[in-house]
Amino acid sequence: MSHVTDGELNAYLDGALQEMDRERAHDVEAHLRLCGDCRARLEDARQIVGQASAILSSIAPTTIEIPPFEEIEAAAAERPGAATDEASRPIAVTGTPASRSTSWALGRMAGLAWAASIAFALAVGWQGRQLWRPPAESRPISMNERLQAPSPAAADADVNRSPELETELSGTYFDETGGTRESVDRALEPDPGERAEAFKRDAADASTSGTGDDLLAEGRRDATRPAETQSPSDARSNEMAFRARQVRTQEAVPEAPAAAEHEARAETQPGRDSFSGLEAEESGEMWLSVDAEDAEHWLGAPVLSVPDVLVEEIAISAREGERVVRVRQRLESGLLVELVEARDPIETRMGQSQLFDEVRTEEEKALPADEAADEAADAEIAVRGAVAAPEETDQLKNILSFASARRDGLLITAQAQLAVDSLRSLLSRLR
Amino acid sequence: MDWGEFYTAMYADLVRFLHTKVWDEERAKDLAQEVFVRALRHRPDNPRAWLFSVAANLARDEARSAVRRKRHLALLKSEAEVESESPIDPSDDVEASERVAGVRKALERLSERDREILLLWNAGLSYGEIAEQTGLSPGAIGTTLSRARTRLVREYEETERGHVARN
Repeated sequence: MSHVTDGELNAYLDGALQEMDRERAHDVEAHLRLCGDCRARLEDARQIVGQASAILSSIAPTTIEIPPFEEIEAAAAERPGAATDEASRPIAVTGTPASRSTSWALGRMAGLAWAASIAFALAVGWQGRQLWRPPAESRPISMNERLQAPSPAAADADVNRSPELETELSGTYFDETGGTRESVDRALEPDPGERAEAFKRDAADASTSGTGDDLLAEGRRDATRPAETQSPSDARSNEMAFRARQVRTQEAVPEAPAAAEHEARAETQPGRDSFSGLEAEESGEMWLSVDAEDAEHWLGAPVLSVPDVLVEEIAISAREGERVVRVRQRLESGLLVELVEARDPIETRMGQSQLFDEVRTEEEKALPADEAADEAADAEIAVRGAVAAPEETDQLKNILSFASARRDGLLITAQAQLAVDSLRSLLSRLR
Repeated sequence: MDWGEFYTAMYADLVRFLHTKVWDEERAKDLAQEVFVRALRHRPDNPRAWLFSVAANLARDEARSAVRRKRHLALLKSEAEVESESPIDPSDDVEASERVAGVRKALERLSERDREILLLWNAGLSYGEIAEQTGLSPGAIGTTLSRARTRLVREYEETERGHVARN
């Protein structure tokens, strides 16, 4: 048997190797009996493990009083609203394969401090395993699926064919019509027959019942509904509300039972991406068209847009009480790019919290080159969900790409009817 | 499951974990309570991994908002004043606070992923749980921990040496 790796030595010392792979643990023990080098390494590793543990223990709070459980229960019972806030999604530490090489940044948002959290944001609900799967298994969902698919079967439609994309696919798979939402893992393993069938159906949908673009347009059509309770509550927003065009999508609002299920799932499945403008409309959120200045005031931060591209609409909304701005831009080709910037829900809640020193940017820069590169790869904004259309249909209309970023307490989601490369290129111009 | 029992068993671990994220004991306790409040509302299937995952997320959000607040402050105050304000440490024990600063610095020299995995292990999660939470394969956890521990020890020793040299 070959020498034992450092990883195995650590796993052995942690008792994990024995737990996970008993046979290998026996092999390691047998090898250690015979190999002096590895025994010496085991002792070194044991020392390091002990030292690391001691270092971490040395700073742990010594006395931790446990507040009565009843207090926690009471707080949970009192809390209003859905329990689907952003931070409650289990989030994977970003395990990014080295093959992710194209690092890019959202204009001046470059910088590892914020960027490191991007992959984090993207890993929302993502168990990460898909990144290690063979590319052919990766599959996102299409615009048509997202907007129209009423059933799990339909949501299994379409397969991403772009090899370049596949290492970057991530995110929780969800069906914004409220019918279905599942983990990527589920989505990654569709029945091949069903997949082919759905492929055809998707193509047919594209040619007969319109695309997301149409639905987006329909969203703007209905401008007469009165403001609803989701509207922002401060005085300025009321003023805006008078001036604003009120928008709501009717067609995309799910049937009541589906909506109920949607809500129920939202409660129980933390892996939910709630920052899609499309989803917002489908959930009946009210968007108010405003000008850029009002939007910036609303958000309390610069409103990003792609320069030199027609801004079709800037709209604001409140999503579970948090401020959101949406910018829709129309490319010369007629395709839409949508950016949604949301105030981080935590920000408001933690507004009373203490200031503490944060030096991540500087520290990250000081990393050795190899780790810095590793970090940069982690920090890369993953573009997910791009779907290649079947060859026989108008490709562009069937593509929807997504990208997300977190920055300075803002969550930014971009989606466009563009190939991933194009979206990436556009977003690199953001300011 | 008995959530009360679970809470009692996990609270201290969670506070310690959060403390290595926010470096403020009171904040760590507040956040830990917040995590449990959310857990009671979500009732996740795998509550242990869920707790730490959400805690990491909250801590990160917290860190980010702190950065922004600091930037805002920096606009209002001179650089020197901002410098003199941080880091906040309620402890009067100089030695303890220096130790915390040293460990913190050492931890911050680790890559994000390595740090996270080390802290999750330190908080009591198993390789399987860490793997599930991070998306790494269980086999890769040992390798990551090996690298993270070695680096932590090395960086901490360097920090200490620097400290001794300064004194």
